[in-house]
Amino acid sequence: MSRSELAAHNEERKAFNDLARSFARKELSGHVHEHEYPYVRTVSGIVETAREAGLFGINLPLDSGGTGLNAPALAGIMEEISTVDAGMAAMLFTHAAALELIAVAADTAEDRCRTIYQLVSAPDAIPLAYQSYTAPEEVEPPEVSGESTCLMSGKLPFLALGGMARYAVSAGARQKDGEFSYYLIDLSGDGVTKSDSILTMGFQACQAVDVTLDNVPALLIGAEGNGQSYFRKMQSRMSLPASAISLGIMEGSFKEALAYSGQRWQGNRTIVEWSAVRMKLAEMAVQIDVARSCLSGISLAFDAASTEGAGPAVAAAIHISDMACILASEGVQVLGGNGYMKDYGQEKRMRDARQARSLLGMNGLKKMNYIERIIEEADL
Amino acid sequence: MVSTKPATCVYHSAGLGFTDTLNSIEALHRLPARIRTEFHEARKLARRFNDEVLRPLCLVTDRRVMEDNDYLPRDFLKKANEGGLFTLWIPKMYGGKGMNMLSLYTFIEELSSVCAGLANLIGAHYLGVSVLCSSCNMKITNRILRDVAREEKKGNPCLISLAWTEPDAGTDQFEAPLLPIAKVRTQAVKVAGGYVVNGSKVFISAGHLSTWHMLICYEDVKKPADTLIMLAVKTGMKGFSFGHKEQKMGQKACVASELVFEDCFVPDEHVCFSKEQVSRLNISPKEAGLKVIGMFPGITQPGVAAIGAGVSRAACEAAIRYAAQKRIAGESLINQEWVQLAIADMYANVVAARTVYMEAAYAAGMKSMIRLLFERVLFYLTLYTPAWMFTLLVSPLFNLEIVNHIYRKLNFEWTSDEDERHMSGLGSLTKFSCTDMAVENRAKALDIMGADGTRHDAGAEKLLRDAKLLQIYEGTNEVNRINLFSQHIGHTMPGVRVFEERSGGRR
Repeated sequence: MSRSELAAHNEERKAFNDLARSFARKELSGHVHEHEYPYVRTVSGIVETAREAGLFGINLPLDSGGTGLNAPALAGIMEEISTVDAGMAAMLFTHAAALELIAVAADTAEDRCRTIYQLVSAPDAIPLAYQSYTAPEEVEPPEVSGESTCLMSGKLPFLALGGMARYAVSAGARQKDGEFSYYLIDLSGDGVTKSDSILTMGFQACQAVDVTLDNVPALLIGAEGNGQSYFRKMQSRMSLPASAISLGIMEGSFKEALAYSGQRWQGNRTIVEWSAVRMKLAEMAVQIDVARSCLSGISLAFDAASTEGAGPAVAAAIHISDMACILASEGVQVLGGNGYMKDYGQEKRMRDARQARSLLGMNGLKKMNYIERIIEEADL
Repeated sequence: MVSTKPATCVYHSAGLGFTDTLNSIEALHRLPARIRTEFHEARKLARRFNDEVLRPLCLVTDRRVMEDNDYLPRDFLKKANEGGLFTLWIPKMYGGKGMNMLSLYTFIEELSSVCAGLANLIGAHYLGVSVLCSSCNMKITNRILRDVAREEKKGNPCLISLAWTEPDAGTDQFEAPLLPIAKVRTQAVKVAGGYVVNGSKVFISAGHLSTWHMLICYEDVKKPADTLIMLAVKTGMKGFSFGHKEQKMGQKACVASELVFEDCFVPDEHVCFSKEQVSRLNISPKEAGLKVIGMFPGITQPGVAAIGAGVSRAACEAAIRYAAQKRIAGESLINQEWVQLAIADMYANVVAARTVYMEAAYAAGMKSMIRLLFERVLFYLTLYTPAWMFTLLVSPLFNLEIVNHIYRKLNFEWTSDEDERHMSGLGSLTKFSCTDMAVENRAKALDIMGADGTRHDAGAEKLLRDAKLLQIYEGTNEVNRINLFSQHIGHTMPGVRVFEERSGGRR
């Protein structure tokens, strides 16, 4: 990317960051718990507002009506929104991850993906459902049969946004334990059975369902048998936005802890005057700055279209999501009993941080895959 | 470069040292052998109660409170009451069934291995009982605890809560050095025949479900340490009402209540502790008041630790169950070494937590305010004396001023400072270490379970939500760390001060 292109890119990204910040402040702030179980307000309303604001089209190609921005742009938006409500960010993330799988497939099979893009860029196709909390290794994919028309049968557990989405991007395999592929399925069609919304620890706005499929027509995305490769590429790109969600949670937690500690009196002084509290705040601030630096460096690599950002992005997602869990728990601790109550945002951040840790698969599995790649490169 | 500046603080190992924490060695020959049997009985009882009552209610109750924060699990209380759980650990001399109080820890651990929230409904009641006992007012203790027993027989759960935390004063009320400067608001003003109370208390465990409330407040809110008073307020008294119920992250079954006092008249016969009651002792009322609030954490904090051990266990068991049935990329998860290491760590945490809280239990049996109950002669005499004899012959003695005076002298004057320090520090150590291990185990379990662990219907995520509260109530773990430092380490070092930092650590 040339310097002028980069400058234009940055301007556009900044505009979207401002948009996300404004969206979070106007639409989410003060309403966060209304999108949580038992759901005082319907989540579909906020999805519609986000769609109208263009937040679901960030990584949709320009010629399909999207903005065509890359992972760092998505990350900026995720971070801004997650400081207020990571559940909303998880909805955007799930949709964007599904789009990114299509984009990865389109890199090598553009023609085949044209129809897919036509379907998913329609207004009623937002948001897309996807199993964003798991890696393919964790879940046995549904079985695919048929030649000219593929039919999918089996279980599709923990499908994020599955309750409200028309389409889902799902893995499917022709043989048990065989190579898998990705497909687009219509969740409004016959043969689709959905459970009630799953009550999750965090990201409750991003409701998931268990789905059972019975001979449901499925459109192949990209080339058959390339699912694992597509997932890895998507995971590399989407790890940056995933990290940004964790970072946003950390920033929100720190901001609330800092403000509270300046107001809360204990022992005849505000608690910010206690060195034990200061130490906690210091550790939180250090982790946030380290995470920011880390994501900034990876963003630069992505902007330069370098493949060097891919590996570190996954590492960052693992590390920052771990840090967010610790930090969000400390964020509750600074507020003491108040931090444990819904009157403040800390308890939700603690739950969301834990849920964020499972984005694109469990961290243990991600670590094993990460080191496997390094061992292969080292030819051991 | 090594500094040549002389140290201003020197650590002396004289007095309390690490060896004093091995209470089990001393307990081997000091505590009655019978308590072993009662530990087993308590565990057996808890397991049966878990199967019959807790397991079916655990997730249902949690979800129900999420849907309706006003929901109170009265069905659970009724079943616990039918099982006699609210009097089982009340001493026989006060009308209870007299199971040794140390076995309550084992019982609570078992219950918490299924549901920490429901377990805490029972734990909170015995916190109230312990606080009432710490007033050393045998007359009112006898009256209230016999009321609990009487109501139990009628089928009415009669719980006791501790009402202490205030909106602007939590931690600073619990620590003696901070109490004089605490921003308390709840005041009891002496009037003819009693006191008039105004103020409010928050985060009161099981408040809405309790019949009696051990209210700790102050005659002069500007001098809380000098004017501490404990009153027994009964639900329904004029001027007393329940405020809002907190919306908590976890332990949802155990309501956290606001208690409101508006010109609430509390008669003299409901005064559990006041400075007048201790005016004939050889210690000041202030010292006696601090002893009241300093005595009970040594026996109640191991209870919180036992909840922590139970949650740790639940986490470990959930992770094992999950890993045994989960396959990833065709491989059984439990056969992966990194998973085996994590489970081994969790298992070790469970064993360590149990060991720690049992050490505190042994210490409580030898050095706390309940130590008399574990003197062998008294223990067996109590065990084999029929309840009616206590009612007929012993109970009336509690009304005698001389008996109360001697009992107060025993606990307020004749308890060694070293034992008090030991119990206080050990209570803190037990509480923060076991509850930290609970949170650690929950996190490890969720690491192994991935996204499946975050599903409410899987039952695992609830434990992390529940565990977090353990690090906060009965003094945050940070404050308990400072207390341990103060009681076991810092006090031997001239020049060391605790809670007196003024610079906020700035240099």
